[in-house]
Amino acid sequence: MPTITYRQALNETLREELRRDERVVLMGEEIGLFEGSYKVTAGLLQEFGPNRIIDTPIAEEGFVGMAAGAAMIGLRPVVEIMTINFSLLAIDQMVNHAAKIHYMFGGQARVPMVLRTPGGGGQQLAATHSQNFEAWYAYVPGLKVLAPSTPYDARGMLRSAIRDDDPVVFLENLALYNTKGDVPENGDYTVPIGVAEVKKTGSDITIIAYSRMTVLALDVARRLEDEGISAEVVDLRSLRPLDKPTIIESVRKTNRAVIAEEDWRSYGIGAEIAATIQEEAFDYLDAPVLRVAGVEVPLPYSKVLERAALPSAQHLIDSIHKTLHGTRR
Amino acid sequence: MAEVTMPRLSDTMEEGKIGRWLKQPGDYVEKGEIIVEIETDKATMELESYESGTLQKIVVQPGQTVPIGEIIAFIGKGAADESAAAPAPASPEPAPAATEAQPSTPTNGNAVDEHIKASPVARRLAEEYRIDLSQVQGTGPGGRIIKENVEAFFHNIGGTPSVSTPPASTPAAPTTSPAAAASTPAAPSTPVAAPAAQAAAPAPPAPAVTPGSLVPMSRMRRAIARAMTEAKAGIPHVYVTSEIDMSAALQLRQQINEQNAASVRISVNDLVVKAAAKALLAFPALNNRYGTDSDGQPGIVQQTQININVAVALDEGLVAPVVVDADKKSLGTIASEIRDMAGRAREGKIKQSDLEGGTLTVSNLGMFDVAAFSAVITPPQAAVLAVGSVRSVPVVRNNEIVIGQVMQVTLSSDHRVTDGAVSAQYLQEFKRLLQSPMSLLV
Repeated sequence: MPTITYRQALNETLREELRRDERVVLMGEEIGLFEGSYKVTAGLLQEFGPNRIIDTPIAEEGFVGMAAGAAMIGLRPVVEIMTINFSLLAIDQMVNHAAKIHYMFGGQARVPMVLRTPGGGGQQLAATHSQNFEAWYAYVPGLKVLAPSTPYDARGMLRSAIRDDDPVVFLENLALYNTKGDVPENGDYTVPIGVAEVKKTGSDITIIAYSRMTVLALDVARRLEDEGISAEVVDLRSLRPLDKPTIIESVRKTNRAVIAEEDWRSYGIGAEIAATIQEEAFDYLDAPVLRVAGVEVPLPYSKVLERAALPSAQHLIDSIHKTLHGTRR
Repeated sequence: MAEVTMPRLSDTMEEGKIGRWLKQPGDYVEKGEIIVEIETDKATMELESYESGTLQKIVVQPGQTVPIGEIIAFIGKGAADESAAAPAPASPEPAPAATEAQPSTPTNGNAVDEHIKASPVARRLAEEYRIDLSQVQGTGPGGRIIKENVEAFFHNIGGTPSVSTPPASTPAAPTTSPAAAASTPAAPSTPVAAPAAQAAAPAPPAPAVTPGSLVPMSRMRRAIARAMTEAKAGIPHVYVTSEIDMSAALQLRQQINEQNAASVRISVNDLVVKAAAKALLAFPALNNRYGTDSDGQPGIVQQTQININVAVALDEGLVAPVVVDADKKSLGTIASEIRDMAGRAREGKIKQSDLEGGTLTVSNLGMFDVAAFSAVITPPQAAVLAVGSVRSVPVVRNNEIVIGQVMQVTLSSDHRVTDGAVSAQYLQEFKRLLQSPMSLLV
């Protein structure tokens, strides 16, 4: 299996889907001539032309609304928003229109669109360009929200997203674009929406993560093996719908859980998972469920401060040790 | 009301032990005044108050250890908590925000001592095994009882909860599965006595064995499997075998028993236990154990008390009750203690305290006519003595072949803690004691 980057996986998947289905169109700022701020759409304008690779004005609300409308009448638009920070300008279109139309009009129309957008900090892009708003979208019934962590999942899930008949928010992460992984050549596989994956099995503690935090969790889990701590890593992959059975099954086995999220802690994905665990696996818990998350500040520009504010491997290790306190391991 | 929490007093500190409270509830505390002494991994340090006010309540008592961030006391305005312990949570200020760090710390009144901190899974298992949680020692944060504490307790009491087990005649006997399954196999099944319990029992007495089927292990079996795997994988064993002429020891034993010199009959094993303990006085290295400090640096934990575990085989596994101070006790005392504990172990009535604190284990398979065997060390101990049968074999004495009473023993020891030469010398001493057995009496 060839090893490719997350960015390549997205680029190839978009190309294949554009070839496979002529209803697929791409829209976004600078995705055509400039090939996207992060080059995910490299080469696509050349191959598919300006009718299908559409450079839009800097007007997020306008073109996201246009994508929703185009989806209603039969296209399958894939919108790129340069970073998730700018998606707030279009959130009304996603929350009040794309997510609701199928429900509010008796099922007469569906909105098969994808909103692709990267989030994440750590690039010294300062407070307004380093955020993760996944909880804002995952909160909304009517949307599907995906956050794959590997090139393999990115490819399989972007396919699923484009082929799905509902609006999907597809979350990428700036720090993942250059990560590499094995992806089958020409394999027309899909990764189903709403199915988490145990990326590493273990018996002492469950680490629940998604997107970039899965990469961190796997790294930590491997390091902990040296200490004799056997950590299981559950990669959520899909934030809505949430695969509760996989989470619960793992926690029932290990009796302990730590959740890693890059986003702020309060009212976040971790809070949702922790609540779910205590609702559905209370009698299996041997320690409080802990969350590892970003410090609740606008992310600083200073490299040192930015690093201090983002969740790190050490934070995760400390939380795991705290959770395992008192065991003989 | 302000929370006083366990501070981080050193880089490596993870938890701290309360040494002494210099202020008592009701005392007025000035900001900057020393209120408590805290023992860390490195030293005893003083904690100054960050607040001025009345020490309302001491949450963590001297001698208790809690992790960093745990509430140890409350300081506030007004009188101490004692009077206000009752319903009125009072205080016009916002409630002492139960922070995320200590979800289960009781913050009201004097319920602290009565509330047993236990994790949900520990509570569920305790209920399932019918274990009284007040008897279980918690090792989690702030002494919280966690799953493995309950499992260890259950294992140590022989997998058959002796506490609060309802009498067998109770018709509404709980039918919780593991307890029912583990209930003493010695008891003849009387189908008429408790039909309800029988009917509900998950494992019917079906004797049919399906070849290749996987029968789940009992809790005790599982605990043994875990401990032995840990021992074999983690402890580099070194084995030294010695042959002991037991003629003199057998004679002494016969004399003691014929003259009813002790209140109970003395067995060969009692002599072995006594000799094993006494020999440790000369070779204390084998009484110590491997350990690591809070930084994970290896060391040898010094143990001065000599406590010998005696392995007792049960139908469902084995337990090893402890003869405390075996080097100091008389043969008669050792014999009666072992008899008592072994009997209770077989009846499933052994107490946790009977099983704790051993420093060396004696495992005797002599009654099964074995020449010799090697035993697996019980973590965290450093050695186990495996004892074979006393056999009549030809031996050379004064250049003549005569019939001797020979017993083989094999000492397995932790090579991290000590070496084969020490084990060999220990066995020499052990042999000397048994071959001149009068020395066991003085």
